[in-house]
Amino acid sequence: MNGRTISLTIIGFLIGVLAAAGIGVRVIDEVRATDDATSLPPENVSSTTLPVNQYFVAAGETLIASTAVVPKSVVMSGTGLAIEYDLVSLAPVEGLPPMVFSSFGNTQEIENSDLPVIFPKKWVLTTESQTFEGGPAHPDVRTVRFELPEGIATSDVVSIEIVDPLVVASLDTHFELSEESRVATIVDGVQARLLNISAQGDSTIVQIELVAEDPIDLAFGVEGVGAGWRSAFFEAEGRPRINLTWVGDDLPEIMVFRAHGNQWVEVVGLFPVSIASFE
Amino acid sequence: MNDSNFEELLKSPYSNREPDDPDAIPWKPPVMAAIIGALLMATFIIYSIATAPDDLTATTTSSASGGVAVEATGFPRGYVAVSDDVAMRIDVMHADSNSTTLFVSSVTEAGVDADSSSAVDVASWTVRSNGSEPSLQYQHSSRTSLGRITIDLSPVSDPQNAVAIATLPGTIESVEDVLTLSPHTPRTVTNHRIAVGDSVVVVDELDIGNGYGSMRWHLEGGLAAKVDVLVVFDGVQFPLVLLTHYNNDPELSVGFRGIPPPWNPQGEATLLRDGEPLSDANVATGITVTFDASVVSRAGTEIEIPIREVIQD
Repeated sequence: MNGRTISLTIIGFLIGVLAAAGIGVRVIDEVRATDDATSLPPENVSSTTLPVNQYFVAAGETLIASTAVVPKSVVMSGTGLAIEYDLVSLAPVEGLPPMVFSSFGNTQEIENSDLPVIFPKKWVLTTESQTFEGGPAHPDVRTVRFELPEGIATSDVVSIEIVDPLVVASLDTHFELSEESRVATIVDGVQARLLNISAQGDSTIVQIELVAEDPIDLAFGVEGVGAGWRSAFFEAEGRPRINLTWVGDDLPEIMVFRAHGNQWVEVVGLFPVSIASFE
Repeated sequence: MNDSNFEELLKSPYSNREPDDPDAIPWKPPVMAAIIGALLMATFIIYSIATAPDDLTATTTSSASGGVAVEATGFPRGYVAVSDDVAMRIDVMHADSNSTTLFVSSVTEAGVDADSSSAVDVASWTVRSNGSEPSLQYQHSSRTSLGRITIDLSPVSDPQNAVAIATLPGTIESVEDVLTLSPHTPRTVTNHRIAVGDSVVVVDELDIGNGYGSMRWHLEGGLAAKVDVLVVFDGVQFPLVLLTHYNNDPELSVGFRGIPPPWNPQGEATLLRDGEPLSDANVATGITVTFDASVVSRAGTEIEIPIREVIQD
C-alpha cells in the first residue's frame, strides 16, 4: 500500500464516519421530538424559543395565567383516582411581604406563593373509550378525584385536562341602590340587595345583602362612595350582609357603592396535565 | 449498426491501463474504510440513544415521558417581555357596547426567582382596532391577585381584530404636598390642586372621619398619576394615622397595606385607620395631610401585548 492509497483510505473512513453522523443526528432529533410531543402540553412553552419539554417549575407542570399546576402524586385506590397537585405562582413579587389576614380576631400570615390565585374547577380524564369528570371542591383544595369503573388502571388513561379554569383578577366597580331600585348586579352571578335603612342616633345604617350563585364569588368588600360614608362591616362571619354607616345630612336618594377586592374570571380552553412520571 | 462501433466509446479511459499502472486509483481500500467508519459511527449513535436517558437522569430531572427535561429559559409561549425578567399576556379580553376589560397576567422568566423580580408598572393601556383607540379608564390590581392586572377601557369598535398596546412610563415627576387642618372631624376637603411639573393632580374629594376616610382624584395633563395620602392626627395620646388603600380585600388585616396602586388617569382610595380612634381620651390638636403625587409626564416604550382570547357580548 503506497502513500496515496493510505491517504485515500483515511479520507474514505472519514467520509463514512461523517455520513453516518449526519444521519444519526437527524435520528436523535426525531427521537427527542417524539418524546417531547407527548410529555408536556404545548400551552406551556414557546416553540420558537424553547424545546417543547422544558418547564418552569417542575416536569409535568401546566401553566394557567401566571400560575403553574404541578402534579405531586397520583394515587389509585379502588375505583378512585386522586391527583394531588401544587399551585405555584410565577408572578413577580419583589418587595411584597407575606400576606396578613385577619378574620374576627384571628390573624394568619400566608406566603405570596401559597395564595390560591387559580381554581382548576373542572378536570376531564379520558381513556380510549370513555370520559370522566372530576374536580376539587374548593379553591383551597389541591386534590382532584375521579371515580372510575372497575378495571381501569392509570395506564389506560389517554389524557387528563383542566377545562376552563378560573383565575383570580382584581375587581373594582361601582353599583347603585335606592329604595326604588333595590337590586343591582355587581358582576356576573353576584347581586346586591338593599335590605333595610334605619336611623341610629346621628347616623343612618344601610344594610345590604350580597347574593351569589357560588359562595366563592364573594371575594370583595363593599363601601359607600363619597363623603359621609363610614367604614362598612360584614354582619357576621359567613353571612354576606353588610352594614354601612352614613353620617351627615339626608341619605342620598341614589346610593353609590364601590365593590373592590377580587373576582374569578374564566379562561376558556383545555389545559393538558401530564401525570406520566407517576405511572 | 455494428456494436463494435460503441465499444470504443463505452470503454473507460482507464480500461486500457494495466493493473499495475502507477496512475490507477486503488478504490477498494477507501471504500472499505468508508464502510467501516460508517458502521463504527452507527454503532456509537445507537449506543448513545439507548443509554442517554439513564445517564442524564443522574444529573438532571427526567420529564414525564422519560425524555430529557432541561431547565427552562425564557418565557412561556404567548407572553411578551416587558422588562428583562418579566413578561405579560392578556388572558381574556371582554368587550361589549359599554366597555372593554382586559385581564392581564405577568410571569417571571424561567430560572429567575420571583421574589427578586419586580412587577412592571405600565403607565397606560389601549387596544387599537379599525382606527379606534379607546382610552384607559382605570387599571387596578389587588394584593391577593398577584401578577394580575384588570384594565377597564372605553368600548372598542372591532374587538376580534384589536391589538393591545402597553405604554411604559417615560419621564416621571413627583412632588410632596402638605396640608394642615384643624382637628375637627368629620370633614371634607374638595378641589385641592397639586401641581406636578406641567400637570395638575386634582383631589376632588378627601373625606376624613374618625378612623376612616376616602379620596377621589383625577389628573389634568400628563399620561397617568399615582397619589398616596397619609393623614396624621397630631397631638393625640395614642398614635392615629389613616393610610391609603386602593384595593381593599375585606379579609386583610387592619393596617396591612395592599400593593402600590398602578398608574391611572384617575383614582379612588379608601383610608383605613392604623392606631387608636379619636375619643375623649385621645384628642387631636390638628391634622396633617401629606400627599405624594407622581405623574408620568412623557410616555415611554410602547409594547404590543398578545391577547389569548376575546369574549364579545
